[in-house]
Amino acid sequence: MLRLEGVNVHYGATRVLWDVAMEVGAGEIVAIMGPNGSGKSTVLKAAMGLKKPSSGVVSLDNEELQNKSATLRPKRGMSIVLERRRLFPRMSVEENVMLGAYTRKPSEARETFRWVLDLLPEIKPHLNATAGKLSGGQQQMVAIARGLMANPRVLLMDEPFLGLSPAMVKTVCSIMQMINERGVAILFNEQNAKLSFSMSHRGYLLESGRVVLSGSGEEMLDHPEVRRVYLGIRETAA
Amino acid sequence: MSRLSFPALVSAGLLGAALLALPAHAQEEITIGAVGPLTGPAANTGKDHRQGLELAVKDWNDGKGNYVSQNPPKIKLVMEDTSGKPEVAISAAQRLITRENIKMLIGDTLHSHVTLALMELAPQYNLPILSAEPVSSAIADKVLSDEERYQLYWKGNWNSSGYGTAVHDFYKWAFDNKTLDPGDKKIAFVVEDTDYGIANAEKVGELFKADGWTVTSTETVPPATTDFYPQLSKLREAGPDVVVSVFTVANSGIAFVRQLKEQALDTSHLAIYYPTKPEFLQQAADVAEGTYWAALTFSSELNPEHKAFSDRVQAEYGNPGTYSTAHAYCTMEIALRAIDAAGSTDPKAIAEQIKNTDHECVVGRFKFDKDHAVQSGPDFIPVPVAQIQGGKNQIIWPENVATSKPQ
Amino acid sequence: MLEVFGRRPYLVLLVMALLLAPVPLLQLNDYILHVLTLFLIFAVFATGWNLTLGILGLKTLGHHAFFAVGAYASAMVSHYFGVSPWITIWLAALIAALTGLLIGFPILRIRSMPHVAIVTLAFAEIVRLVFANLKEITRGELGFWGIPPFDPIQIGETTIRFGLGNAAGSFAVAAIMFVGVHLALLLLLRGRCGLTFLAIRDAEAAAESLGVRLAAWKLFAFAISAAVVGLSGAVYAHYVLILTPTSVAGPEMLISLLAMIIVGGVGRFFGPIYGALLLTVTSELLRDFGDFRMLLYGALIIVFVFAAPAGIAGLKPRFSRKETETRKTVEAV
Repeated sequence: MLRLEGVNVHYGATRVLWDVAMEVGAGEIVAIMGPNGSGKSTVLKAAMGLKKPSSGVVSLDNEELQNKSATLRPKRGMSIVLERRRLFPRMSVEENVMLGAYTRKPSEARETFRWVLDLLPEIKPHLNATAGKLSGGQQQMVAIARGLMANPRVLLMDEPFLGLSPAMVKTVCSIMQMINERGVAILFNEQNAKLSFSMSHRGYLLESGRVVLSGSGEEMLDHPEVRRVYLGIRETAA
Repeated sequence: MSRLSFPALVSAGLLGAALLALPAHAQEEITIGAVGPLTGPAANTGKDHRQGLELAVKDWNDGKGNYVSQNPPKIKLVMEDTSGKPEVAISAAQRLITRENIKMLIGDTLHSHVTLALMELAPQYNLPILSAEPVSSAIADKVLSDEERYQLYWKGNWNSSGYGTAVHDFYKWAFDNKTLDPGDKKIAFVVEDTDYGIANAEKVGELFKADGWTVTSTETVPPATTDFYPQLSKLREAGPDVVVSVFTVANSGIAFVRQLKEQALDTSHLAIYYPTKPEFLQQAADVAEGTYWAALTFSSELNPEHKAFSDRVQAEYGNPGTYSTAHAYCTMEIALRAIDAAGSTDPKAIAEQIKNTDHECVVGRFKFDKDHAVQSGPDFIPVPVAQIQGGKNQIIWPENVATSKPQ
Repeated sequence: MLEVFGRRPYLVLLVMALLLAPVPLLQLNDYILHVLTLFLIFAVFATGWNLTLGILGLKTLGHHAFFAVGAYASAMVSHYFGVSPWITIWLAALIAALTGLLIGFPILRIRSMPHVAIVTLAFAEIVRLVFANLKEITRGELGFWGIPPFDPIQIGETTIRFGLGNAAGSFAVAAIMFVGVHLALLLLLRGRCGLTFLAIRDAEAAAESLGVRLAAWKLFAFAISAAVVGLSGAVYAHYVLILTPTSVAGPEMLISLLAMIIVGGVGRFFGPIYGALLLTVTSELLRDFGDFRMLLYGALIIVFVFAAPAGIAGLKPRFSRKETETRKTVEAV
């Protein structure tokens, strides 16, 4: 459904992505794992159109989007939960969530809003609170709710677990699975290999802007390279 | 109390305070109002104006005035600040009108653009208005555009063309008596890029052209420029016989005269305005020798009357008097004498008496022209041309006030 | 939104309108009406500027240029072509809006706020120099005079006149503009448009990812903001009847207007109004202090900036905060 082919991205003269190819199928959870600075966020930004690739193809259901602005994506069924939530701190939670349906008709938005509140009842008591005053976990819920308001088929999540308590990480994981069960594909990135691949159908390993490994969640977790470098498990010679 | 109502309360309080400002109770004496720039960039000049106005009123009330009648009225002066802005000046004037019940307004004491706004109040409030130092010809043009409407407004200074006329008449006189050689009849200007600079260059150029001269160039530079080599190299190419420079910042003038001297151009140089600043002679005496300049309107060194006035100001306020102090003093005298002569505070009668003014004061003889502006020239307010001779200023023209011959 | 507008913005505006309505009938002296008229004109100016500065969050420092453009445009069209000022003020707003778009385009490409500030400041200086140098039509620093006041209006027996010296009429025009502009802006900003501006201000990337077309909205904000400021400039011109480039587009205008916005509350809808009222009225009230006037005026601004860093509109009376705290404690028990 969402496909990246030969995507190259430059920041000024520095090349940060090298011929990246990825795919997210309908209803899949896909993880991008990699160390700090490997270009994980840039992949999501390029997919969303927030960073224009210098070459390559970004397509959604075979429609090429790489030259179209980010503002078109929500209409096509794609939305993003940005790193560090990026809520509108001085607006109320309800205003934040409703802005997620920016490109949609008010009547449709109302309907989705009910659906989202159903899915994330935790935010209900805080609807009139100022978003910037919520805890990190609450803010992440609001950010996810906002992302869902576009009624996306693909939800991109940039570092969804960043700065959350272990308990909150679990909650967010289960929310992601719940969203996925309702038919929304998810592409997210995360530094922790175990967390990334244990909850995803498929995963990619990104190093220095290149995809070095890909496979199903289990395959990734079992791969000796991943085990050695990212899980810290030394294989004993058989 | 909700979050909103507190600011609302503050504003309501302020509004109330503004509305409750009570009018001052009536005085037996006649109140004259004045508005001028007591703060802002021109505050120094505004301070001089205030001293001059106050001194004139003090003299008047102390029995030392130049009276018209046997029974001159007692006068009270109230001066307000304009910050040099027209809308603030209107506030100040309306406050004087409504709260002090003034019978006449001196204003603006300095700015022409503020005066252009203030003069609208004369017909609206039936109030005689006399401006002090503003010179812009636009004011006189406005009076002439509707004399009926501005019959109560008078301009206590000459028109801005006065300088141009003086510069031209001086050169014509110097050429006629062979003090200077007109050469190829080429004149050039280096002036600061303000109305003052450009208007002066245009006026002088126009008068010279009428005598068959050519204007080789008019170079404009931003105010406070101190590097004139580009302009001077152009001058060198054009080879003018007369160069006129106009700057209001003394440092520009000092730099210009110094660089002109270095270039050793064979030309006569006349400076406008900046040599009136004392620092010019202090810092450029070595290179300014022989420079002509306009206009030496006030000089304690050369004119005993000016010296006496300056000393009085010094005794009263602890600082020497300037042209602005003297001019404000004279403007107030005109106002006082007009009220005295009118014998009432009837606005039309006062305006009529201003019109009839023919008054000899420390800066010259005040007589109004048809355009409601004071006349300039040898018989009225002189615009004397000076020359720096032996490191000192000497008046060389007009001849009736000259202290030295041109060298 | 709550932070920007408070709880009941329409009610606040209604109260303001009700306070203003009886003023011309109070037989106040012209001086007080003049000061209030200036307050209303500057309040609209400050509100317009606050749209980009506070609500959109772009550090634009050149809006006095739009004030000058509006003032000169209306003054010149009415003077040279004999068009009624009732019409030319709208033309002035339109011209100012177009000028706003013109400067908006380069601003879009600049990400760093200090650069936005410098570019807009330089733009204002260019506008001032252009008006100063177009001497043939503006008379430069000599001052553009001959600006017609608003045409008189005949209502039954009474004729309402405008311009300097006709204080009640001039106040009425300024008050109607004040209420009208603020009502229109409230209607505009309370909806999707205001949310969009605030979204851009608080998290531009997030706004873009949600489908907000940044460039179009920023240009729109620039145009609206410039139009409002231009309109206030036009009304100023037909009131004061004299314009010079320095008095309308000079640095002093910049400083006093910024002070109004900052003292009142940057980014709060009613903030600039309180700021304009406080600074316009107190600068006149302080005349009683003679030579100390500007000193006290400066001190007042400093005190307000320290005591109310979020502006007058952001002030919360202390006892009310205590009240809420007490309530919380009770709940906790």
